[in-house]
Amino acid sequence: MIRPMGDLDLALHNLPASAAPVSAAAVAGRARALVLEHFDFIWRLLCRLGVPGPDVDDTAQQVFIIATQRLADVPLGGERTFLYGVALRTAATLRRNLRRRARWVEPGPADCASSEPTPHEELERRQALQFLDEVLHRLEDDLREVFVLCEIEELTAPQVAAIVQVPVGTVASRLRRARQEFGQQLRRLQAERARVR
Amino acid sequence: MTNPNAFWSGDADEVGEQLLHLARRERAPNAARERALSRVAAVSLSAAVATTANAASAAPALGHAAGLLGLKWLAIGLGAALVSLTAIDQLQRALTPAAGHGAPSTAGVAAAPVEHSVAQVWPAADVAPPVVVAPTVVAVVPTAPPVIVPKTEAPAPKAEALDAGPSAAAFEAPNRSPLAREVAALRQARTALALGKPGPALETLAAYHREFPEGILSTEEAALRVEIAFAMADANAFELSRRFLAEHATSPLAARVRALTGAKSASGIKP
Repeated sequence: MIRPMGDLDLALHNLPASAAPVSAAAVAGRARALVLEHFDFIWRLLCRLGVPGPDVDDTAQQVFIIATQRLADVPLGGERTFLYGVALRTAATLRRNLRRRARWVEPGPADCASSEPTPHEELERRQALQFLDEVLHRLEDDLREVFVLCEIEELTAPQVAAIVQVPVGTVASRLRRARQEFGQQLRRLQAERARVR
Repeated sequence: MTNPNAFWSGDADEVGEQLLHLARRERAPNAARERALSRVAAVSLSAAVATTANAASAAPALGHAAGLLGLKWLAIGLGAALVSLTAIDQLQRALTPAAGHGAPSTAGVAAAPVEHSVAQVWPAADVAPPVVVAPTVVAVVPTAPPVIVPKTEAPAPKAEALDAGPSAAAFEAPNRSPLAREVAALRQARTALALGKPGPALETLAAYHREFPEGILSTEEAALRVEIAFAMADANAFELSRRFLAEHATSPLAARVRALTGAKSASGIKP
């Protein structure tokens, strides 16, 4: 005889979390919440980490698909850390593959803005972000990741340490070096542009 | 302030701060977010079905209350199927306007009008709708087939309960949505397998594959194919399992297939 769902829930109460059946609605609701809350961050992060513009949307989707498939491994309250970790690894893999295939077009700024016709201000905004990406592209990957997470996403050093999986002290030293390098590369790029003009 | 000329010639520290400020305010295009929502909707449905199936396969090893175990299998299967059907029905409603003909694919899901898919597939983030126990779907197929269940703890589901599930007609009925037919086909195959009839299960799966070569539930199909192969003592079962695990390493179904493969290896069947 089939018992009511309430009894069924009680019957399953003693199962460990990993073995307990997960409601489709609960999975869907949590996955949706991840996208709504963190999509901007992940999308922006991928742009700044050098994922080519045409690949950013798909890569961002992939990050959330991975998170959905591994939802049981995503701790409550730790969603952002988990997603950032996946995004960092996905971007790193993509960069590696692109370099290996020699498809990495220098200087490789990520044009993440919409390709639809835009007003003049939007065009200027895109050019500015391209300029930023060119500077970021000149940083080493380790420095770039920490710099983007700290300076653009404004995460704290312990948060970044958890994402990048290095000690807090390493984050601090990388950030210090990244700031110096960012300033130097920005001046260098300005000088290059000045010579061209 | 966003004049590029200013960035190329202004004070580097100030320019750097302005660029970072600009980057902090950047937002993803709405269309990209909506596409991600649609894709994740399809994946989460699949993940939920698989997770409940995995939970069912893991349950007997726990065995807390001896009197409960006999019923647990049936109950878990029913619960899993009920929640799956609820979600699938929601997805069907969302997809119906865009899925009028042909086999649906993940891309098809992504292409469905966002107003429909987002609004109807997803419950509110913080308020998951309760699972409705409809009398008409009580006798559905347990998602945990007896092939991976220890003999003493997991009696096979009763035939009469299984037979009450959707029939072959439901699978083939052209007036049903493609997704509903996919679900019915896989349920039909699993029913046959649960009844100890792997041959008909394989035939049903073959029919499913012919009609939906790139179906939304193709991963579930592949996993079920492995289970059927083991049930038939097919010499290629381990190869099928290995291939599944290679191609779907991150799928929630991978744990289920891995457990089944491990159980078969432990029982003396040679890989």
